Amino acid sequence: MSAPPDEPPPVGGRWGVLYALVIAELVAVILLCGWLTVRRP
Amino acid sequence: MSGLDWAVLGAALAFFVGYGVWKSRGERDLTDYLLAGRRMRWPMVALSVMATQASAITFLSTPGQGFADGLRFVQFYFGLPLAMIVLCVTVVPIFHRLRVFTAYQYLEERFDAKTRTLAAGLFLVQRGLAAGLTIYAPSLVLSVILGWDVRITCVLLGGLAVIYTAAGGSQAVSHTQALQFTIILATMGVAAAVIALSLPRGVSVADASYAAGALGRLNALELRFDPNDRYNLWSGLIGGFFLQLAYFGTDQSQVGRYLTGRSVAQSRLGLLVNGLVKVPMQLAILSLGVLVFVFYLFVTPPLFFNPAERSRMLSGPQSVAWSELEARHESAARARQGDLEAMLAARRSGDATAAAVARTTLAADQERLTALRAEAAGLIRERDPAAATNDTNYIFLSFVLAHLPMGLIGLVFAAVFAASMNSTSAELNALTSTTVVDFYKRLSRRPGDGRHDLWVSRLVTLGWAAFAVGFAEYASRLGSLIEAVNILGSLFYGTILGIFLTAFYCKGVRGTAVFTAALVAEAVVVACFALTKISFLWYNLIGCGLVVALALTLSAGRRAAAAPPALETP
Repeated sequence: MSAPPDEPPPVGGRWGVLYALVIAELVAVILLCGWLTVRRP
Repeated sequence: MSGLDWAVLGAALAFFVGYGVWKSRGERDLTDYLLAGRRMRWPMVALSVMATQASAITFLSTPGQGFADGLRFVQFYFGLPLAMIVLCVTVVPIFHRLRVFTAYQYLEERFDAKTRTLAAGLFLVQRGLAAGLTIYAPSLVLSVILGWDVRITCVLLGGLAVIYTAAGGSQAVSHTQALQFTIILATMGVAAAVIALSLPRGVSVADASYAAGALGRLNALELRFDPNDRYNLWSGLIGGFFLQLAYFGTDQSQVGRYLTGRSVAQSRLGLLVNGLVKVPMQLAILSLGVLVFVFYLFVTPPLFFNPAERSRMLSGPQSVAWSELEARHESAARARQGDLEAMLAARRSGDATAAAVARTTLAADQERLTALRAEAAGLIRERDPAAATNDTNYIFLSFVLAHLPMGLIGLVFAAVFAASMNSTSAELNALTSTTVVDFYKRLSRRPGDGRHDLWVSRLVTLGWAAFAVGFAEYASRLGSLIEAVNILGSLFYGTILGIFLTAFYCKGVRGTAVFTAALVAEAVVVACFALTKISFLWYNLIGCGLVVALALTLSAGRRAAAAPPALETP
């Protein structure tokens, strides 16, 4: 049995756009964590 | 719990099981039973993948971690989004193209039958025992909180999940996971809102955040590299990346979830949504624990959150010492409350000097309370050296029982049961896939018969459920083994990941080289566990790196030995 024909990614037409989005969000969360840590009340 | 809570809990459990059985209609063959007919769209794949990873103990332990240690546990998940991307690029298209049922099938195509058997066998040992722990850990907490025998909660948690998993396989598992996980997240959100609204009048969210920050509960990032420290940025990014890559790429309980996607794109999207949601979700659950911590700054917390241990202490020979310790704890908590109010008043009035002084006093109060909790743990150990002195897993449910409104308590307990059923059902389905596809179908040599395979799969699911519940019952008598089983995943994941990475990226390596490399790497990882203090997150990197390096070396050696001698030129 062969694999079904595949579908294109829904955002930006390229998978790279979605991968970049995931990395950008991770960086944003790490920066948020850093800000919470260094912020002094 | 009140009658309303019991009614909510009972109705929710009956609904979950009934929904799962209802969703199991119309299954015809092994593809339906093991991979939900490969028909799922990405939202279902994403919810199923997330629900499989988030077991009941996640929802019990993570708020407890937030309470006791702040937000820094979130770093454990930093490698996950990166692992999702690598899997989407490499593993997902290969598994889809080959139309495999299990990850280990691919290894026979790439190497040989013995390498497939080794990887599938390592998975069955590790996941079979881990399935017992997935049932046992929340069973223990629920048994203590509800005052039931742990054997009853083990049978209940395992029994509820197996009803629809055996009946409906992967299709029932995916649909119930999507429903249950949505309910769990909604319940946690409502619980967080209720806790925030339960703070004393006049205390804003900004005040709560200020107080949590003053006591170090918002420290989420540790940049210092220390291989023995479990939670820092580097262990999370590097060690966590390899752990998540191994878990999602080679553990059938996850591979089986995203292979239900109807195409490469649907499976990829499911994994990428997991990469987007997982870290913020863990941060939110930890924040729930921090919120509980702040709540207990204004209300005196229990000295020890495990109610069973407290009862034993109050009825035992050290009851006087325990009562005296509780009185000292209560007085220290009241002092902390007074200093907290002084700090918040100084902050509101803009008096930075007074606020700084109050912060120092508050930190000293907190240290006193922490010391008293350590003293309580010491007293418990004095009574019984084998007693559990870590009460982190009991913090959230103790709080829920004591402070949440009627009805919501039953819903939170239903969410904990649902989380346990989610992960247990996926584990049972994965154990069944591997047993049937990688062992039974290969050894029986029986011609394909959809109905027969379906019934064999159902029996295998029941068999694994019985094993998992049996091991959970056994684990309740072997406290010291539990920690070892918890680290079990990391003992095997690195080796299995190394086998797969060699398969994907080292084209010249053959079966015998990778098989030998895997045996040697596994021995080294076990030696690291037995003889060193290296944090278990690094075992994945060590095992994986050794398999790849040794397989490449052995292959190069074999090629050099097999090469014909160079012809001499005249």
